[in-house]
Amino acid sequence: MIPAIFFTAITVSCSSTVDVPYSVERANKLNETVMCPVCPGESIDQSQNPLALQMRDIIKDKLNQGWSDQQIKDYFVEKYGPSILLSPPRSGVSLVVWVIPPIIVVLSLLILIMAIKSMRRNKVRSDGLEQINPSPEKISEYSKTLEKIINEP
Amino acid sequence: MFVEIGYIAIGVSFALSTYISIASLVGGIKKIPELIVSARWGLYSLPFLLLVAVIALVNAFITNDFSVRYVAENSNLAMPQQYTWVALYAGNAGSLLFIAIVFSLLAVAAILSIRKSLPHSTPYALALMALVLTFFLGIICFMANPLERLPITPADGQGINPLLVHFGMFIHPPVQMTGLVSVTIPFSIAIGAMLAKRGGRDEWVDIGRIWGMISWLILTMGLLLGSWWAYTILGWGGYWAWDPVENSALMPWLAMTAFIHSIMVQKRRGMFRMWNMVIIIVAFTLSLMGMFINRGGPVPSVHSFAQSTMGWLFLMFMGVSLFGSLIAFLLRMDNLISRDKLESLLSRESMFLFQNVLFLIAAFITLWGSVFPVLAKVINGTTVTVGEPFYNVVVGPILLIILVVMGIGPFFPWRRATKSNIYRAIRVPLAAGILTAIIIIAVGIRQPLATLAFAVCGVAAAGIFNEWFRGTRTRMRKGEPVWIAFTNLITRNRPRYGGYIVHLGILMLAIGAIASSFYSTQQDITMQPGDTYEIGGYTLSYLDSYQRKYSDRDEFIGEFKVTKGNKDLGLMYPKQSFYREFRINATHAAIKSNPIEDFYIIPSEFSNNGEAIFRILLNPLVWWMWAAGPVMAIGTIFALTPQKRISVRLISKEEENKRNL
Amino acid sequence: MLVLIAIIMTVIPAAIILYPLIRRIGSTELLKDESSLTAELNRRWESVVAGLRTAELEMSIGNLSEEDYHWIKNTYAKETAQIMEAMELQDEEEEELMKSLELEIKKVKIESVDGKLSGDKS
Repeated sequence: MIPAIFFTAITVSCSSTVDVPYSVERANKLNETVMCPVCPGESIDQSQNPLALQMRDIIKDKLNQGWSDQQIKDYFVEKYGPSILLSPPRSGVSLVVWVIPPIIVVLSLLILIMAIKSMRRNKVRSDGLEQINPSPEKISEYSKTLEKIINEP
Repeated sequence: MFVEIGYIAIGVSFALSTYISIASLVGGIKKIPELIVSARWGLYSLPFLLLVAVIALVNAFITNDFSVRYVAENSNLAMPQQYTWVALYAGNAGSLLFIAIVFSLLAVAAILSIRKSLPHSTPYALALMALVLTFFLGIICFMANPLERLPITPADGQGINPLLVHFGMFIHPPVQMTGLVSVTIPFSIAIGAMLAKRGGRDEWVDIGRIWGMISWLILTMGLLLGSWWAYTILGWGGYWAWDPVENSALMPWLAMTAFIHSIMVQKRRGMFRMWNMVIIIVAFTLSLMGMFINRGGPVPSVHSFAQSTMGWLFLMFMGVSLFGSLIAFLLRMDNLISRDKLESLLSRESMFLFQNVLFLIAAFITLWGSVFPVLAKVINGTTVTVGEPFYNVVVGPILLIILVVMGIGPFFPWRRATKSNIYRAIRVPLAAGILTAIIIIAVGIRQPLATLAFAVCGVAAAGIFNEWFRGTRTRMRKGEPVWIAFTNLITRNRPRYGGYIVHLGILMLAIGAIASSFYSTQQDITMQPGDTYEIGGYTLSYLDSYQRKYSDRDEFIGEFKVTKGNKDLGLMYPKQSFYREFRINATHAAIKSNPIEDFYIIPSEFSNNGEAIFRILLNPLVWWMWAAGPVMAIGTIFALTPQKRISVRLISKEEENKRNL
Repeated sequence: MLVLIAIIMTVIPAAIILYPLIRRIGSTELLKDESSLTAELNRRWESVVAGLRTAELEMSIGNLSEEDYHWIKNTYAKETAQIMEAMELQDEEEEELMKSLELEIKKVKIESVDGKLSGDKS
């Protein structure tokens, strides 16, 4: 109950902040997917490089002109090549990058199943203990002493 | 002259560490105690030698001895003295020396901690640590000696990279490097125990777990400090961008997280013996991979300040060590068969296994995303960028499942449980999660992913608090007052409750990350001095802007007065510094942080007439992410503090007499 | 001067690593065996205690049903008894062995005292 209220409070407090115009939000989303060509590893959203600023302006203009997201992305790809997009396209060579993760997941789950199966099988390396068969009296005697020790404050 | 002394010290320590690895290995195999002691004593003297080299380098920095190449490349006359410490590891050669001395200290501590309890495994572990050290010292000696002289002494140095001139840089890189290299310790202990023919089963587990957790903690702190640095200095309002270097630090962390959990199963049950070996090998390999990417790997990143071709040596070393440890593993596999079988799928053991697999999946996908651009380039000649959107889609869901497992996993009893038992144990957290989701939806928020993510956090939080509450209540029934009951509960079961505290930290991290990635507000605005702007309840007035010229940089500073409601939050000074020599623009965001949200001003562009573009960000709950650091540290240390052991001797006194011969 | 320091810096580590070889320090080094049956039994014992403690705790908190609790307790009780018996057996054997080794050990102890006097940290 408490966590529920807590998290709801969080979400409400978070989401009730500001209504950013839809176009701005869209532009921001787009900015996050386009890489800044001159700054290593940063999107134009992150970078404050003049070029990134220019590119952000381009995106804003194109959106105002009614371009679609895909059109804008294509525009940048044409200009700078496919590596300008932070998210690799789901076609051509880049398709591989998307295909492998599900394969990793499936393979890992297969390994998990195999590991569980082999662990469930009776193949264990015994240390000879189970060949000792203590009498029931001894068992209860030991376990009583043990219990006393464990429950000691 | 100091420089030459340091130079000799490095050479001697390389020779010494080579000797240690050989002597220790031979001593271990042939069982020659004198040789083992000799190797160990050699190890103890290594940090002193390396200290001489470090002092020589520091001295060169302080005296501005630009005849030393490394000093000339990483400092200049204008550099404030306190940045000597940063300059020490700003470049490749220096950072390697830093790694070497830190690692030699860790190795000494590790050997001291295992030599009494694992006498037969210690020589092998020592040999492995010394091998790693020899590798680092070899590179320092032959490829990147920080004490190498230049043929001609320049009048002034090139200076330090301005992005490194930040408070966070005093601690983040050393912690991160220490974290990466510290994975070697549990690795060496595990493999060392495996190589010592007799052992390799559970002998190493206690101490291996301790070192694993230490290493995990250092890695965690390194990651958090790095994010914090990125958040406050890189000035884009974020803290994590799935950049290759960030990934390279994340991957070993993921593997180590898997390790410190699965090692518990071996400790408790004598199971997962092979599994743990494989995981620690993976973690070690990934940490070398991390250093490879960090030290001049082929991937572009905001974090690579020191690029060089030596990265490839790391890659080779990684290949060799991976190959070697796998061979050793295959040869010793028979020795590592579990003591017990998995009794049930509904058990803590299988939850740990599941958790492990999830972490490894996350690690391998991250690895794949980080190396794919390189592969594509080499194989196909195409340049591809794999960035944040990819990881959000692919790794995001896995992290979410991990959170669920974190929430309910601890409620699966060891060995086996009936279905009704599991249901009983997890119904409260699950109900709390569902309730969270329902309330969030009822309030009218339509962000399905965020709702799901918060519901998952609700499950985990409810699980932890529910158990604390019930445990305390049980003790209170015995007549203990509430605080004593709670303290007794957690101090009597330190690994368990320490773990819960760490989980709580993870939860704080998750909440901050979820909130700030789903509910961050961002706006770019153009302002003239005198303008006022309102956003999210904040009123900000752009008072003035001014320029300052320094010997190495020009600063553009904006002055803001910020109020929220009637409350005056004071002045804020976002600024941009242009470092002329480096042609680098460093952005210094101004942040007002509180537990609910961060108010963040980034200067984008200043014009000469004072007009400027600013980016305003409202990042909710980011504060919690930084607060999670101390919480996780406390939890880990708490879990590590030794607890009173119930000696086997207590149970039968007559045996004690026998033993006290 | 430089040559002198260089020599010192080489000689000291060399002396440190040669000393144990010359003085034959380290006879106590490999005496204890972490893989011995006694050590193994002690580890088993600790894991049983930990398991039982956890079971008690989880029972008191309410995470463990009556049925599972009893099963786990019985399993551990049997394991405890096995470990204890094995330890007793082991002790008897050890006692025999000890007697024959007593002389040897005394000798070793004297040596290690010797080693300590001459600066051996082990």
